Formats: sequence, structure tokens, C-alpha cells
Amino acid sequence: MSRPIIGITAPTRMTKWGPWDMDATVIPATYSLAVIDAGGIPVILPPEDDATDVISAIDGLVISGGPDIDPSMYGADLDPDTLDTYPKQDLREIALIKASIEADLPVLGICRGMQIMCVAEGGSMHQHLPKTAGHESHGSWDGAFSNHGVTFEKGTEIHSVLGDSISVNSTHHQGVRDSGGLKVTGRANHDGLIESVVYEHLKFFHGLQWHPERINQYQMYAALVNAARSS
Amino acid sequence: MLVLIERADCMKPRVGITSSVNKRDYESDDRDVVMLPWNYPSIVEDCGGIPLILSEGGDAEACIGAIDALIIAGGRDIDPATYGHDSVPETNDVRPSQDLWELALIDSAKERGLPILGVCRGHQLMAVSYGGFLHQHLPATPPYEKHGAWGGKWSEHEVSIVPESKLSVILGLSSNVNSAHHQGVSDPGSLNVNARSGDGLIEGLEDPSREFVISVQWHPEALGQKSIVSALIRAAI
Repeated sequence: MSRPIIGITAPTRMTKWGPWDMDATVIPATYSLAVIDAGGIPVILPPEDDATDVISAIDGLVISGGPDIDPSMYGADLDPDTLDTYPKQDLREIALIKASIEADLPVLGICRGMQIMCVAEGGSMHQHLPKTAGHESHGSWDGAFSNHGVTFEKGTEIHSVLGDSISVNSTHHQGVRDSGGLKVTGRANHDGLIESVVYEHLKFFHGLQWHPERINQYQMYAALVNAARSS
Repeated sequence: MLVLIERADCMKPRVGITSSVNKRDYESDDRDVVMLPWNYPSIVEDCGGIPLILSEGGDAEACIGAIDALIIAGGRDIDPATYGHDSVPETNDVRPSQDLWELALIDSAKERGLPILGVCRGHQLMAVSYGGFLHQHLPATPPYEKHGAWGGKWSEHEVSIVPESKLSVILGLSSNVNSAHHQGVSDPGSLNVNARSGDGLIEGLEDPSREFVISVQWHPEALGQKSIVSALIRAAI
């Protein structure tokens, strides 16, 4: 298995296609490019896929970024600043995460993907960072990025891959408040917000709050592909 | 140590479906996104397969190694350079990297003996793969002016299916189909024609030497025409 098959979760959204507006599975191409650069074969997982079927067909998994998680998934009331939730997508990704843990399938969660990893394992969210005292500056979520440093805990796997500290891109208005059963491995330098998590004792199960695939920072994708190769 | 785990025979066939990269406003403005209409994975799931959407640039042999059947989906015009013709002004939005990737997938799938279904652009690409050629703009190619989509709606017409073709075993001798294309197959290369519309346009192709290498100009996934997709999946088992 020199090139492992890496599934990438994707939503279905109303999208312009030729003369039509139609439901299409759609995902930024940067995820596929990161997986290819890391030596894997990307396959996009449409929401129709059954979790158990999918796990049997892939060697590793990327839970991609996307919309806010419905607060009912972590037992909170809906905050007026939580936007555009898709509970079916939430449930489907939680099922994939649980099945991956069960099968010890290597998983990398990106942005929303990290958040839903934490929620799947009992965590919870800050629903709107701009009004969460001490964590106001992680925008801009209107398409542009801000940048900040992240420091990793020594002795963790992500520290061995990325070192003490790196600069990351940031474009999110929600953040992890409680990482549940996952261990926090990295925090934002300027405000201590949770930026990376790991499920210990699994082969590879990491979540990142930022988008390394959008800044050609492929080390964690390479680490995922390496873990998938040895699965 | 590398350990290859054979998938059990009872598992559902994995059906790879090709996607297109297009510019769209998605999360931010004008990004490259990988897209596939929802009805492709949906009909594959309904017919008992596991849909996996293949993403341009993935190594063709490795992609084919990950699946049990291949669908080349509809999409943009094929670059005429692919079949050695000059481009006409109406041929637009070509993406040569996608053409080459999908042609490599077809070659690799043929080599591995995988069943292949080509849909619309996929049908045209199948013809090109077997040495054929395309009409670049049907509205300017009498008598084939009426295959487009108008006002956001499909056109419809009947196709006659060649008796004793593989397609006739699946669909019978005629079928009402949807139509939304401005290019068409002018020369099927070494494939057999298995269906034509009333105006004589080539609507379906097949490789008689293979269990299931079939292409159709229409869109079975949008028609809900499960018989074709089920036949593809049966051939994968």
C-alpha cells in the first residue's frame, strides 16, 4: 500500500452547475492537493455514505472544515451568533469519528473537523469568540485570514512533527471550550485558545483548529498518510 | 511491515466517480472546489455500491486500485487537442489536466478489467479513449441541433437501442432519455454504437470484448435510471 486511500468528508450544498442550481457534493480542492502532496490518494466522501461501509474502503480520514456545529450536539442552547447549522452533517461526521476510533483508523480533523472530534468525545464549544472575553481575535470568518502563533506541548506527537511553535492561519468564530476526552496539545500564543488535540493511545487521531492545507503546510497531512500507510 | 487486508467478498463494491474542479464562491470568493452533482453518489448508494468521489490529480493506477467500478461523470467540454482537432469558438471551459487524468483512469481501469460507465462528457471521453472524435457544437451541426438544455430544463427524446447489444439487455430496445449537451460523438473509434437518437446521433457506446464498458450520452443518474448503475455494480462483484 504505497499510496494509501484518504477519505475527505464533504457536504452537499445547492451549487450552480451549468444551467442549473443543483445539490452537489462540494469541497475546496486544497484538501485533495494536500493529500496528493503527502503521497496519498484523496477520495471525497459524499454524505450518502454509510460510516461502516466507508471505513472498510479507506486507509485514513480527513474531517474537513465547514459550518457551525448544532449546539444540541453538545447539549447547549442555540446562541444567536451560531449560523447555518446542518444537524444531519453533524450526526454523520460523529458516526464516522466513532467508527474510526473503533477501527483505529488514522484521522486528521481540520477546523470544524477538530471541533466535532471534541464534541463527539463529550466536549463543547464557545459559540462566538468575538464576544467570548479573552478570545476575541480569531476571525476573520468573511474569507480572509488572520495569523497567530501556536505553541505545542513537549513530548506530544504533534510537537515532534511541528516543533515548539508555528504561525498558523485563523478564520473561525467558534472555538473549543472543552475538549472532552481528547488531550489538548497546542494553544494559541496570544490567548491560550485550544488549537490542537489528540486522542491518545490511538495510531493517529489529531485535530487542528487552523487550515494547514491553505498555506501549503503539509506536515500533518504527511503524518496522516504515513500512519495510514502502516495501517 | 506492509499488511494488505483483503476485503471480504460480502462487502459492497466501491464505485469511484470522477469529479470536476471549478471556480466557485465557497466559504470565500472564487476558489477551486471539487464538485459532483449529488445524484451520482445517491444512485450508486441506492444500487448497493459505496460511492467514492475521485479527485483530479490522484495517481490513476492507485485510484483504480482503490475501487471496484468506475463512473466517468458529466461535465465540461473536452479539449479538442486530446483528439487532434483545432478548437471551435463554441468549445469552452476546457481543462486539459482533467482530460488527461480521466483518460489515464479509463486506461488503468481497462488494464485492471474494471467495469466502466461513461456519462455525457464521460461518454465522449470514452470515444476519445478508443480513438474516436467529437462534434464540437451540435447547434451548428445539422441535423443534431436539438440536444441542449433550455431555460434550465432538460430536453427529452427517445433513443433506439441496437438489438443484441449489451445495453439492450439492460434497457430493452428503446428508452426515453434526458438531454443537455452541445457536443456529441462523431466517430466512436473502436467502440460499438449501441444507441442512437431519432436524428441519428450516437447516444451510446460499448466495448463488446468487455463485460461492462458502456457509455451513454444522457444522464441516468438524473433520470433515476437504476438499471444501468445496478448492471455496473453487478459487473463489479
